[in-house]
Amino acid sequence: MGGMVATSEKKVGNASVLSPTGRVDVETTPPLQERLLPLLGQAGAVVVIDFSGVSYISSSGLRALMLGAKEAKAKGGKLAVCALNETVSEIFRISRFNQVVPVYADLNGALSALTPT
Amino acid sequence: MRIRFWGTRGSLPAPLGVAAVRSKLRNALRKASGRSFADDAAIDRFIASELTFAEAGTFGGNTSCVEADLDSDEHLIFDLGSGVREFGNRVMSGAYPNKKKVFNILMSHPHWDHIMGFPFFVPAYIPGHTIRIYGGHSTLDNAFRRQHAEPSFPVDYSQLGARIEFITLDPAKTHDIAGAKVNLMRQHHTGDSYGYRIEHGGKAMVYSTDSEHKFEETGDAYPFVDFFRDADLVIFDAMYSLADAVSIREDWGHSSNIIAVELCHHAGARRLCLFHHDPNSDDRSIGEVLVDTRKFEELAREGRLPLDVLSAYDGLEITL
Amino acid sequence: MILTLEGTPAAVGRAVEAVRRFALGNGLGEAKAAALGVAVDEAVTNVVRHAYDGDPARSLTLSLSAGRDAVQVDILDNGHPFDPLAGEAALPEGGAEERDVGGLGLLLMRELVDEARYIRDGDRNKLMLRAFVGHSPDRREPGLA
Repeated sequence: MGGMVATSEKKVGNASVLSPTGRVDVETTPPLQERLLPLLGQAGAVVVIDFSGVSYISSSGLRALMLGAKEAKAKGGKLAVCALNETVSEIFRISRFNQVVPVYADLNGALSALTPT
Repeated sequence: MRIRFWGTRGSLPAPLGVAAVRSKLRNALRKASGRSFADDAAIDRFIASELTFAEAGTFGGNTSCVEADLDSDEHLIFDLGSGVREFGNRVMSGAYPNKKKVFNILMSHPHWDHIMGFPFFVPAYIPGHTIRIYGGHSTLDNAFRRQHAEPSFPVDYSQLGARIEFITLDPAKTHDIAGAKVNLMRQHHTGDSYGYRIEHGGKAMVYSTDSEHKFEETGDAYPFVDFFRDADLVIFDAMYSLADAVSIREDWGHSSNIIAVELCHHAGARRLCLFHHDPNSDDRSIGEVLVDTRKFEELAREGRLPLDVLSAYDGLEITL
Repeated sequence: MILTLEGTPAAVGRAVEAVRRFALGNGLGEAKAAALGVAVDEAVTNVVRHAYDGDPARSLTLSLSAGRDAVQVDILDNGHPFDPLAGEAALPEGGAEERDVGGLGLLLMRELVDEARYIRDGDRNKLMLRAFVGHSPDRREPGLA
């Protein structure tokens, strides 16, 4: 039942911004995870996942975020998410993932918090 | 088949304390202030309509023990946690006139909270009774003998009057126990645990506790999806939040409400009962988890019919 | 879709009509939609008469859901424990008027819908009625390796 995730990636200052679209579920998580983990494998990396194009996230997607958060912690980097729609926001709250990964209202908020000038 | 929950708490009994009772009273009186009630029926109506279950009741404190009351002349029980004491008392009160004193026990695993009720199970002391303890583990009897031995308990295992048999079940086979078709599956838990699927009278129920699921890695091909397929009831260990289950409590051998709903959705199960509540959780937080789980079930449903979600409590009865 | 109804006999007709329309709009044929409506009629009447003792001040909730191949109606109330599916499925002796309510209810639920389930959940009665588009699918055996 997975929709295609076309993840775009851009650099804003020293931060990488990943912008997946559609559903992040058991089928679409692996390619996202394959881009996320190498980014966070670099020491001190800052990665923001922009969820503005994401309609739904399943446990597999959440697990990828957990792996990302662990990798960030190990390598002294930072991982955050932003612009969750109402459904995704509820799923973060219910699964308590809002306590695992910092959640910001929008991309600017995330970038200014993670990359202080 | 009728399912009765005698113990629903995980890990350790968690009795309701004075502070919790006082807090429930205070809350109820606050909500009732300014009202008057003509009779007890009016009070019951107020409780039913104005208070939640978590406010007016309790999810209970006994450890795992669930009864499947089948159209059969033998008893069928899952696990021997502290809840089995009250089941034994019900047996002794003569509540089962149509059943023989034959008790078939399906053991998930021999961790302490799943065997601790057995020394207080009165029918085990009575000659003429038969207790058959089934499980996927081949050394279950050691655990039972050991908890009856000195210095942990005053009555040695050898003093028990009932005839007690231990039977190892092969997960590759289907078994006939107390008239039910029984399948079992090995689960991810320290020292292994086993989940059971029983079918009887056209109904199917699954008892799957003390199991950690790596479902998020495997999707539809995950064998538990078939094990839960179209079940009328799935009793599921949802002890932790997903965040805890995959982080600080990874490999602690338990699962979450999120995984429970996803598995049941994929399997087309009809009803999910959250089980093995964390002894650190009070009634309010277990009630909140239930509300959240129902919300998540709606969000995750996507064109499926509703999965009915319940939270187990000591005393809950479900007729399938 | 969620409907909140007052606990009066007048609410029954509203519930039945809403369910019938919802069922028709979600792929059920006329006959099956009508059958589901009759089952809902029976169920809501039971709540009003038995669970609520005819107290019109109390409300009940109908939750209507449609899946890819079925429609489900959940009926929730917070009255006395009342399981319309409990009891024997056999027709009691005597005419229809003399049938005991539980027996008739069970017959109707079993015959008119594909699946009927009841639960007393805390202080609520919850009855779930499900009707499949087309025939009720066979229960698959678990594919155990």
